[in-house]
Amino acid sequence: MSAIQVMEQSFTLSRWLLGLSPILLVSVLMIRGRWAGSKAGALAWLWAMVVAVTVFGGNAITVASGSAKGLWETVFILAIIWGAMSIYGLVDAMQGFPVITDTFNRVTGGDRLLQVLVIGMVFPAWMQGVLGFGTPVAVTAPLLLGLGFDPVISVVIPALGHSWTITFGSLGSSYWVLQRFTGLAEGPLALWSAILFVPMTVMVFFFGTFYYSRRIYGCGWREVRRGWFAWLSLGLVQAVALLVFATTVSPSIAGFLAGFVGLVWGALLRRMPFYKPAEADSGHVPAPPPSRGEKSALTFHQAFLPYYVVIAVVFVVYLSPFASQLLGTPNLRAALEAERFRLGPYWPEIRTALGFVNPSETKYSPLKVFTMPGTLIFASLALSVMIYRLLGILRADVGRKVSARLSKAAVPASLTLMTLSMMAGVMMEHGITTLLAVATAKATGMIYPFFANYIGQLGAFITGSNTASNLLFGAFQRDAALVLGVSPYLIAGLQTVGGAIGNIHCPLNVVLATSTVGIPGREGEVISQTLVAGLIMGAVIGLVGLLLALFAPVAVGG
Amino acid sequence: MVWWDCCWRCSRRWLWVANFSIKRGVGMTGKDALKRRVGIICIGLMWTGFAMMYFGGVRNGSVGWSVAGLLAAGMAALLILKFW
Repeated sequence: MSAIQVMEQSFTLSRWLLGLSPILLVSVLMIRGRWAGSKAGALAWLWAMVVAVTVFGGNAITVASGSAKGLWETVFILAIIWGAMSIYGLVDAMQGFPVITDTFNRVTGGDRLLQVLVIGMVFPAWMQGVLGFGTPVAVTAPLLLGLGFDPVISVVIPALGHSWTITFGSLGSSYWVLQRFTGLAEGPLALWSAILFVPMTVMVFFFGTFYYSRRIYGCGWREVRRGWFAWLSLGLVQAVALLVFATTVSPSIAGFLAGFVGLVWGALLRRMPFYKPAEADSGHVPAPPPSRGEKSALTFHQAFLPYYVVIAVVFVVYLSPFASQLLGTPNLRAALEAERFRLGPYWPEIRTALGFVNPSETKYSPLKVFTMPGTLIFASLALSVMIYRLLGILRADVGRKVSARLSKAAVPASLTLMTLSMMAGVMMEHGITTLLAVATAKATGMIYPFFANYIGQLGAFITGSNTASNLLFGAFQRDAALVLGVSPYLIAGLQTVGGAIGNIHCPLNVVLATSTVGIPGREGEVISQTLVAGLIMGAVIGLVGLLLALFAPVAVGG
Repeated sequence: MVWWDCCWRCSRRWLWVANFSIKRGVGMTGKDALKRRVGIICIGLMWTGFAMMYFGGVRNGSVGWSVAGLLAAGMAALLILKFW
């Protein structure tokens, strides 16, 4: 009997409510109670264990297994956080941010909206095209902070901005997982997923502008009206580019190419006739970062060097398979990802008393030691330090400053990640997430397409990953579509768009960013903003999905 | 080695690490330093718990090791709730 069938048979209203309770608990405590993520996560993990044992047939071993799986998953993410914090610490210790700020201010004519849109949203989206796993947000948030934006804006903006390239980003990992686990044809799946990303991309740029404007001027519509051409054109141009590249070139590099188109468009925006530049006022505009006494002697390129190195290292490694095909160069990535370089613990089969089975795995969630983002970031850090030393501009106290910053910010971020990840591990190990998805499909019937993206959001909210969400719910969504007589391509597309939206407000990703801008513990403040945007976007996407399912079933492969 | 002995040794080791880290201090106030110290102990307890849960509980199917691991991680959770 499949996992879905087991949870279908186990469904009761009380199980559904109790299954939902850990997620509700963590959301309410963080958003309404403004609890730190670590505290909310600790309580939610303890509660999830109680629910698992009392209602979902768990025992000491199944609960331990789920918690241990959750902890194992954090290794991958912690490496990114610590790496991104160190890179930020290096630039800060080298007194590079005032130089970067001056340059960006000059290039954008001091227009803060353009900085938000291009640096805060298009840049991480482009980076997401290749790297992903939350790294673009962790890298961009400190850049915005360095530009003088307040820490919450610095997190919310890139969290929104990078989301639309997630499915076709990370070299298409989320898309390929969905395709593999649903068994659907590549072409139509890419087409209908990309179509559903069009409204989402436009909304992402709208919400980014709206949120920035409301935070700075107290009125969301002010900058939305003034900069309508900027956010609308950026959203549309990139969405269309994503659609074209995903269907004609390759889903693997569609996000990267569309992000590049966005960067070019963003660079030209100031000269376009429809764009109304910012007036040179105003008391509302965030002040540039305070000078730290000593004037920096760095040029812009020297100050930005660690970020150049990150981009270069990531591209050399992640794009080497394409270079290998086109130019016959060695496939570096394949060599570095050989089986012997993948570390993962053996996990035996774990079965709950309800009959929910987690199959055994020879290597559970293996870490690709040499190509995982954390490794690449640390390698970039080491290279940057070497280059600074060769240039003779490395400051003597850099090592002490970077390690001090890291040790200060790493503890709360690590605790939050570990507790939330253990909660998610316990929920998945006992089939709680599967039951929640099954219940949604059963309860909604023919209006299921409206809710399908929320299941994707749920998966990403819990796991912190669009790929993991597709892996969890991809096959289930296809089955639900077939049972209800709706196109599986449409529902699979809604699933992955939901997974991308879920990345905006999932606590694991938010922690990643808050820790890099020095506001650990304020995750709730960020999530309260991004969750609203995510739910509204979900409603619009759901409505589009529902209309497509009702009025154009043949067109979507039904 | 029985589980409680393992627990005790690991806790002492992590306490030493926390002490060392605080002594190296980076100009934190008393409350921040306390939170940080508790945080480091919690991280240590959780990974100690991971080792017990995985190697003892999941790999060997031992309920005792599973409970011990959960207690270690659970202790960390309670410390977080108390001090954070």
